[in-house]
Amino acid sequence: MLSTVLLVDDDSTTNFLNERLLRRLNVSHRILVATNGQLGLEVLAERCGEDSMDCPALVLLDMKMPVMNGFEFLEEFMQLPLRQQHPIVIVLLTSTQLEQDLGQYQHLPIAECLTKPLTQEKVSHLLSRYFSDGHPLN
Amino acid sequence: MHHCIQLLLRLGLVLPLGRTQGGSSTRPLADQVKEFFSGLLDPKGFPARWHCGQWTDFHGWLYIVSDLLIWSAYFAIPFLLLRFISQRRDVPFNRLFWLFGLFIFACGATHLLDALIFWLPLYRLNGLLLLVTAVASWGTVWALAGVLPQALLLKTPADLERIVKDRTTELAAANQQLQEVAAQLRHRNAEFSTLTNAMPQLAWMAETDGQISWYNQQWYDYTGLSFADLGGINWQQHIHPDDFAATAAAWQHALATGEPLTTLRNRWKRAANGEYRWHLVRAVPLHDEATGAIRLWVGTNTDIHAQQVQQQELERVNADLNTFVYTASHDLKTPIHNIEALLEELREELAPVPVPADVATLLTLMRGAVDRFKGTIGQLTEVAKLQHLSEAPTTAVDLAALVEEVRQDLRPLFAATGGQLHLDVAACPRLVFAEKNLRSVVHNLLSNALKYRHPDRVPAVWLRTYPASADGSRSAVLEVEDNGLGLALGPAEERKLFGLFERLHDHVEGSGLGLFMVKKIVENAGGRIEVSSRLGQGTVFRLHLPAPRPALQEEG
Repeated sequence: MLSTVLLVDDDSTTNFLNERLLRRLNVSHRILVATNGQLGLEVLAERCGEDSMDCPALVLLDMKMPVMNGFEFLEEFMQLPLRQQHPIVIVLLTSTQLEQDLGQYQHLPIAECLTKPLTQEKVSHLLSRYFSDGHPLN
Repeated sequence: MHHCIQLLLRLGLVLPLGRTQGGSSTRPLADQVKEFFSGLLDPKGFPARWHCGQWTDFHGWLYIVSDLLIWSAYFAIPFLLLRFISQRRDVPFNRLFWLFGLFIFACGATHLLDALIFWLPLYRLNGLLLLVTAVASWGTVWALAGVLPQALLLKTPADLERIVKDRTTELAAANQQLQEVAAQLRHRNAEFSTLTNAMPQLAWMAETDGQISWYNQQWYDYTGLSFADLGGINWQQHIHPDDFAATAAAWQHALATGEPLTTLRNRWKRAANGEYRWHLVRAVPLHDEATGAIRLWVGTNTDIHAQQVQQQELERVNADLNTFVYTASHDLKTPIHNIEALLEELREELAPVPVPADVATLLTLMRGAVDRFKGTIGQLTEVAKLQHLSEAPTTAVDLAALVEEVRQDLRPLFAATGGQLHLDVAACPRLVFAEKNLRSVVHNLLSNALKYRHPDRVPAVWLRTYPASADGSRSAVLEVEDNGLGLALGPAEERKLFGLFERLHDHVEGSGLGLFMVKKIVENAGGRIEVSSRLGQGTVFRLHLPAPRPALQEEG
């Protein structure tokens, strides 16, 4: 089981459903929610300090959000020093395949792009591919 | 002269002609000739004529005066002839005149000597002179006989006069004709000017080096300039700066290759209000009839401003619509997925609790509605994608391989229906098209042919390609024929057949998107689609695919 998962999405229903799904699947101890990129970064800054234990291991990131979108979030995230101490798996969730086809993500620190909606299969796939016993694979 | 010959004969001085009279005739001929020439100017052996015969004064002087008159006349004639031919350079048979002069002169000389002989009997000299005269006379005869045929051909003054008259008539007729031609030319010119000035286009002509040599009145009205201002290279100042480079390139290309300009569009400044208006520029080369080389370029600029602006507006609206469709389908996805997931959560929440039967029915109906919603959103996304598809690169696609791939995709449908596919692409085994789009087209047409099969028959589908040779271009036809249900197609049905989300049958599952997509793809690629169908017999779809576009385009 992961310690913490961060959901970054402006749609509260999506967050509600994803949180419910993750809880049902017992993915993590804690689930944090941020409704735009800016708030997501704040969560990371707050929780991923030197001695913090509840820094998110997995971030599920939406692309289209007000204030700061997923793209801008990733650009900012790359500038953060905390990245070295806390390997964080970031997964982009997009509404259509076309968005992914348009590219632009190659140079960004994301593990994968997935098409919404998030399902049990997709979650299982992520856990087995990127984590082992609650810790990131490297 | 006759008298003296008689005398000479009597004296036995003439060469013997069978006569033996006189002592000298018996001597050898060589001696006689020698004696003749040595005593040529010697009168010895002959009496003066006054002393031989019974001359009365009258008779003798008649003789002498007549001889002298003849001599003087015969002497004068050659001089007159000489004068004539020296002044009339154009006289033919010039040498004959000389010969005739010599003959007359020699004749005159014999008469002079004939007179002299009355006192000085130079019979030997006279003999020689007679010989000279004889030779000159026969020479003249011979020469005359030689030139006679030519002389007969000489035109008489009457002939010449008639000829001149005829020529004059001909000349007058030719002149008349020339005047008529000139008048015709003037009329043509007037018609040309009227026509070119009446047409709404800006018309022009250019030399083979691209220099403009003529503009119609509309140019002057449009630009407010004179020919001097417009002539030469100054047209550049009236074209929109953004269109200059493409126009110059297209024009240079046309000049270099001789290919006409047909699709060049650019903006020209109207002097009246300073606005740039869109024009369609066309130019065709005029070839020399004899050499085939380009002699001249004739061009027109047609004002298409309204259409162009409208088209740009349409393109913008179309692009906006596409964006809207895409955005709508995108933005609707998240809520419908959420509704679906919430519905699922609700079903699970309700599972352990006994609920009225109606609730389960309602949930099922909601589930169905959500599925249809999702389907529609998916189709909208497909439609939005068409915009991107039309920009896909084209390649030479191997049809047999592509059809085989589609057949594999449709294997369940082929298996379920027992459908037969007959492929005939030998005439046109490759089509230049975006492969993904062509697969989509073939997929849709084949699956339709099987889906709308006739209940009484095993479905058979024929897929053929052949060159559309009728128009001589390199375009091709892709044809898909089936023996299915068929349709009674009026114009309204045909419109519906290709319409978005339109469905003519309701017994088979379908989205109403397939044929719309096929039509869109074909039309986006510059082609067109035709359908012919007979109710209960089958349907043929014919796709006219355009020839591959050449690398260089006039519109940049």
